[in-house]
Amino acid sequence: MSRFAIFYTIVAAFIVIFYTVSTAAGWEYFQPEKEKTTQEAKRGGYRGGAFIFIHGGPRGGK
Amino acid sequence: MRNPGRPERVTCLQCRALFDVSSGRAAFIGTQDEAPVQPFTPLGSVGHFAAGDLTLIGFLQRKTIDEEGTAWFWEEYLLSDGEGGYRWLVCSDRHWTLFEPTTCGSDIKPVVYHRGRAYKLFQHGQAQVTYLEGEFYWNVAVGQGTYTADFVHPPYMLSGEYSESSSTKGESIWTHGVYLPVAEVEKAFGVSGLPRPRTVAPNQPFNASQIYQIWFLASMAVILLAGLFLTLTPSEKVFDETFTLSTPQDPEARKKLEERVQTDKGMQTVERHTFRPAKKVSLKGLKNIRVTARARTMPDNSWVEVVGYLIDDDTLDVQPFDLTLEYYKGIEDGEAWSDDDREKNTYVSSLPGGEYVLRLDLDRQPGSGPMSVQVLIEQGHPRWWHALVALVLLAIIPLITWLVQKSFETRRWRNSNVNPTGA
Repeated sequence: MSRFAIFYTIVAAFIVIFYTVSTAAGWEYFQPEKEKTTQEAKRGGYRGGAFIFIHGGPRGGK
Repeated sequence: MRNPGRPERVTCLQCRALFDVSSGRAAFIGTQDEAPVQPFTPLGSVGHFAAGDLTLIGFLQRKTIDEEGTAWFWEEYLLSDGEGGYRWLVCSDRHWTLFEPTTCGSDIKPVVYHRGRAYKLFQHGQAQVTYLEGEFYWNVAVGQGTYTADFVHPPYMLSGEYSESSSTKGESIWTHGVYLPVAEVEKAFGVSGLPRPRTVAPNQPFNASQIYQIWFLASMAVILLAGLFLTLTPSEKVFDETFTLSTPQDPEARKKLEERVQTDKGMQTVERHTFRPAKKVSLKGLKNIRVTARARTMPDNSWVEVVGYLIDDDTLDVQPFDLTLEYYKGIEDGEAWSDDDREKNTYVSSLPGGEYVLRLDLDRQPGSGPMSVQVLIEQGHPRWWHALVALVLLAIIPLITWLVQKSFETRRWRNSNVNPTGA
């Protein structure tokens, strides 16, 4: 087997394994980024303006 | 002599004179000019091949002249196994092929079948011996000509030598060869520094063609796995609730619902209805999450943006999702049209198993009519799209390889006098 074929075998194996693991683990490739909320927001019951993200929300900040 | 008892012709290593020794006595035949080319290794060298050790006993140069009058030279090395068997190591345009005698007996035609393989006619023409040194088992001489034809099935080559230019007449001698990379020739004879080829040989194999088998196997694996995931993974509903939206009559209450948000069209005032279902959403780990938003009732020409947050109370991690439902219709130039996106879904990655607080912000244009929106959350929905991504990624390198192979084959057939365009 040529070096190029060995290289492609490694690449193909990685893709197949990544597909298998990611699907079995329920990963999405593209999705909104995870955020962090605060203890204050939690105490406030995540209501109104108390619902603050450390990073911007999905629409660019809340 | 290195092959006593067998040669018919020998040359003097000092003066290059040619002698006939078929009768047991050396009879002078003629002289040769200065050697136009030297063998890459001295006569008498032993090459270690897979078939066994072979001794170099003769070396000759031949030429052919193409239709444009250009002379093409190549070298042939006669190898002896010491038991009456011979091989030919041929160097043409820096490419090497090891030939052995075979039986075939075909005329010159586009395709010749030999030992179950189809060989394509690559080139044919008159070949002439231009120089020789060493020992030869037939009555060779400088200037001796034969009509040759080469058929290829890379890495193999079938070569016929005809006693007459018409392949249907006279006798023919056949040899079958296999392409040898330069490094293998160097290894066999223990030499180094042989020039590397810059062209594509008639029988040079395209080394990357193994890629296609690997690609096929990997693609089949993905398709099989995708089929298993899609058919064997059970999906499970974890949340299903319908939310009703109506604009309050009281201006104060209406004002409280208004929010300024950043949208694609800049800052906009929306009417925000916030819901925090009392029941937590129970999620299992290692299962992806599909959120479906469906407008049960929706006024014409309106929209609603469903922004949701799954909040882990322990870690304070928040997984947002966002879906915009809209329904527009009208008549333009006498034609009715509609833009119906009253149901949409989105996927998010699996989250650690546990209970999650769900918060929903349903934003819409202030004063839109009554609406009801169903939000459905399910787990365990493998996606065919991921399999498609994997298949596309797997195909990139084989596709590039195929394009390179096309170019390789074009370069190969460019040197053919049967198919000179390489088309």
